[in-house]
Amino acid sequence: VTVLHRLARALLSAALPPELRDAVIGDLDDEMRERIDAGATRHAAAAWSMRQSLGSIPAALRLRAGRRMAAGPAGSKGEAVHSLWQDVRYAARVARKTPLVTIAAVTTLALGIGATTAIFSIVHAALIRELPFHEPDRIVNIYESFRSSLSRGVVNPSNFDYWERHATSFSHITPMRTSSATLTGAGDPTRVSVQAVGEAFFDTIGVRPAVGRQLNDSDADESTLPVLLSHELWRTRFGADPAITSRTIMLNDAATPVVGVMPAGFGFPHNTDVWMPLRIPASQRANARSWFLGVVARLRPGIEIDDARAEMNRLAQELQQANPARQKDRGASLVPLREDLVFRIAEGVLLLQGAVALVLLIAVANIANLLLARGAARTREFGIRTAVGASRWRVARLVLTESVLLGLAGAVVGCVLAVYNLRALLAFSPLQLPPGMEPALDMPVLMFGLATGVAASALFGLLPALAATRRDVAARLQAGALTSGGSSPRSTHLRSGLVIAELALAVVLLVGAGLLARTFLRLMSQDVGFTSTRVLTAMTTLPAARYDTAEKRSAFWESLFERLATVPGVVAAGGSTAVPFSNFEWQTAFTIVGRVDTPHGTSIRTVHPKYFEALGIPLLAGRVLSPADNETAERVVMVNGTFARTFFPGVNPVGERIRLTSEKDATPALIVGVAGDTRHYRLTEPPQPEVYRPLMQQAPSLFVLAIRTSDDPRAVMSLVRSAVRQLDPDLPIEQMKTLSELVAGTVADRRFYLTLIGFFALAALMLALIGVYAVMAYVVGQRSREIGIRLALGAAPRDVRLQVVRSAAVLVLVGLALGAGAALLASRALASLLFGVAPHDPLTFAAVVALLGLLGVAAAWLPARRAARLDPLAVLRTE
Amino acid sequence: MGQTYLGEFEQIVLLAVWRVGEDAYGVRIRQEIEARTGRAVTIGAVYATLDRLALKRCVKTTLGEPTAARGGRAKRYYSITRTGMAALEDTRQQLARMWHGLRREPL
Repeated sequence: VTVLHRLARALLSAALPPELRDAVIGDLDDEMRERIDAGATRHAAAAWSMRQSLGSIPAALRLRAGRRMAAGPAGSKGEAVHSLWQDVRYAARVARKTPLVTIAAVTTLALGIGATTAIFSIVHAALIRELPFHEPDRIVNIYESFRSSLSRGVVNPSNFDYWERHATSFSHITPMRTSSATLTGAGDPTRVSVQAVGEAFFDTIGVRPAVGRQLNDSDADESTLPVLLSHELWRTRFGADPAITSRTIMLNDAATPVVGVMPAGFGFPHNTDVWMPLRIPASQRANARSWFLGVVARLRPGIEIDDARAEMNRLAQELQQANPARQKDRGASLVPLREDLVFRIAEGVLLLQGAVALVLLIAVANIANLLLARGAARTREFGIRTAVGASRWRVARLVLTESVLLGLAGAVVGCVLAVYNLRALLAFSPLQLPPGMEPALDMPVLMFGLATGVAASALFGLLPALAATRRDVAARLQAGALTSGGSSPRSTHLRSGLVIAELALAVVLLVGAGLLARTFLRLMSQDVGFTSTRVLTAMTTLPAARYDTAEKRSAFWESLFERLATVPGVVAAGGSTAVPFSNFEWQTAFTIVGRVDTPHGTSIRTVHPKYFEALGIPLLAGRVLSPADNETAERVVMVNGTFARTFFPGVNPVGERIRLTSEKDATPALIVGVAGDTRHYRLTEPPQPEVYRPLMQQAPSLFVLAIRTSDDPRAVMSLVRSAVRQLDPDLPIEQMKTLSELVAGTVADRRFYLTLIGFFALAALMLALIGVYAVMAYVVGQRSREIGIRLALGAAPRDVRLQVVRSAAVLVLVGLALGAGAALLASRALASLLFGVAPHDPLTFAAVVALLGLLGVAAAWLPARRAARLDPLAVLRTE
Repeated sequence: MGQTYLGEFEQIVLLAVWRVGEDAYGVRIRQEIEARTGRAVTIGAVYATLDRLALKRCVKTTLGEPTAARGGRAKRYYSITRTGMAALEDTRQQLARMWHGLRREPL
């Protein structure tokens, strides 16, 4: 209580106007003494004083404000403001007088805050800032879930109907179905992303069209479904035509009326270009085994998400009782909208924020060290101030004012840097933030930057302020008389502690960066099973209206590949319904002819015979598909090695037959060859069983070209484009990319995190080494007298050097030990980003410890050498 | 005057200054209020009100000698002015006029 009562009394004293301070504090002490004299215990009296002090603070602040106003505009701003202003001017003078310290501190801080603020703008946009919808926290996505695997997916239409009829937790609920369409007649033909939605969609999200009207249920009865355009599509393809609602656009070769345009930045659920009414054909609605609906709903006022979850679980049970076979293992899962939008990036950006915060902390420790050194040089000044009557609080305030000034300067420069940092970050970030969630340096983010600066200054100002207010006035004046920059062992301990903390934090960051780097190397050295260099890929889609028969589609593909084969620079022109790493995947079920068992699942793709040559996939057995495998020939397939090992263990599958039971054409197909395994989705996933069908026996409408070139594949881009256009000018050509880009795309997020964290780790390393250097240089400076005497008495320079290096090594070792312990705890946060490396990977830890240990001792080398070269005479003469 | 109106706590503090008389400094004023009204009052609130009363020229203030017993901190004494007495009287009359003719019903 005594300490608390003193603290409260000090707070009150600070809050009071100076001219009333003596009276009030004196009265407080008087009455406390009276109470003790009257028989109260010291404890009770102190408690009384504390309550009085704390209770008086608001009145004291009002008193101060009242006086300032009463002083009027013509008068002075009041003594408090005046003395604060004095402090600021004095701090500015100190800053100008020690320009190197000022520049170093402001630069270090600005770099730290610039990085912190830029990363925070992403965190803010993704996790904090309100989504641009009406009451976004009330919007939930609903999925069908699989209880056993805890996974979730799209919804069956009859289940949706049941939910819509019976659920009472939602004020609005709407089904959605994602598809795409070809837009022609407005610039180059292009694929647009289409979202078919129920009428309740607009009330559910709480957004209205910016132009025209929203869709309603009667629109679904029109023969040609009308559409709403995204603001972006309207602007880029239709010149923001205000009369768009009286026009039609060509979607999938059909003249489609436009009823309106959605507001700018709206693309719900993901980068949607076109919204149309949802019409589910009766056949699909009745199909119990078809799942394709997305569902979004708005919670009814007063209903919490857990209430809604409970109700949906009940409905799922009812569905299950009604239809045990089909609904086996199925439930319903509710996910808040924001969680759904950011779940892929939340962990990563928080990790970055943590990493950058560590760098900032190291920077703060470094600045504290710098200011302690400057404070040590001013011991005499502080001593004199105290001697002539400045209170300790007054001296501390002075030092803190200096720190806060530095902090604000660093924050302002840092916020400016953040503008450029964010720009660079977004230019090279693979993180996909949905529309409306773009990071921006808006007011809250800038306030965060400033607040970080002030908080940092409080941290790095605290130790110097404490050091400046030690009581031993006389001792300090004497010290000042003896040496120019006298200081105590205590301050050396403070500074050593700071350096140890810096080293420990640097270890944490370096270990993180090391683990990510090892993961990345692992991934890049994974064998993908194909040669990704010099391959161009592009997707094209044949509109169903004009290419309505297999013959028409076959004819198109045949003549396209004939043309592509003649393009100069093309080595092999093939293609597939899904090339690796294109995020496309087709699945099917099959049975093996001659065996009695349940159908198995496999990946399936239709390929042009040249596909294997174009991608460099080796043939393991049998033969490759050929142009002769056409519509009139026997049905044939190739399989991959994993397929052969999984379904024909120890047997050559060539010559066996399989029946693709879920395809239209379920004629048994002869396995003619086995191709090498390829990785298809991610580098972290092992190859899956695959079946390859020949293009001429299936004639798909969607196909991804894969073209091996003799030189840079980008050189043939325009030739490939014109080859397609010559055959059909209205075909969209999308996602033209090299295969290397597709592969790199799958590790882009890891590369991003690795680059940034690596960069932060490097900064941390530099700062920590500067810290070691600075503290050793300081120690040598402090002890130059002692070292000089020892040298004069005949100590070998080598021993002096060794002694300095040894004391640095102690700091480094303690820092490394603490850091390794902290890194063991912290690296678990990385676990989900790692692959093939354990979070406690001994090699990474050993490498980091060795590197930092060596560099840390090396950083002490310069001060050590200077110590050994001290001229004893010169040192002793200065005293 | 006739226009000065004192708030309730201002009246109480001013009356306390008047009552204590010669020895009216923070501790005594605060104790007088606590003793007579029975409510807990902070020293800060007393000074904030005294400061306002000084602005309205209802009190005047003098510094005592700094004594070692108070750690060298001087006491600040307050005394009521003629203006202060007039303001108290004014306020009471204004209140009286407002009460005039009202009869309290038993609740």
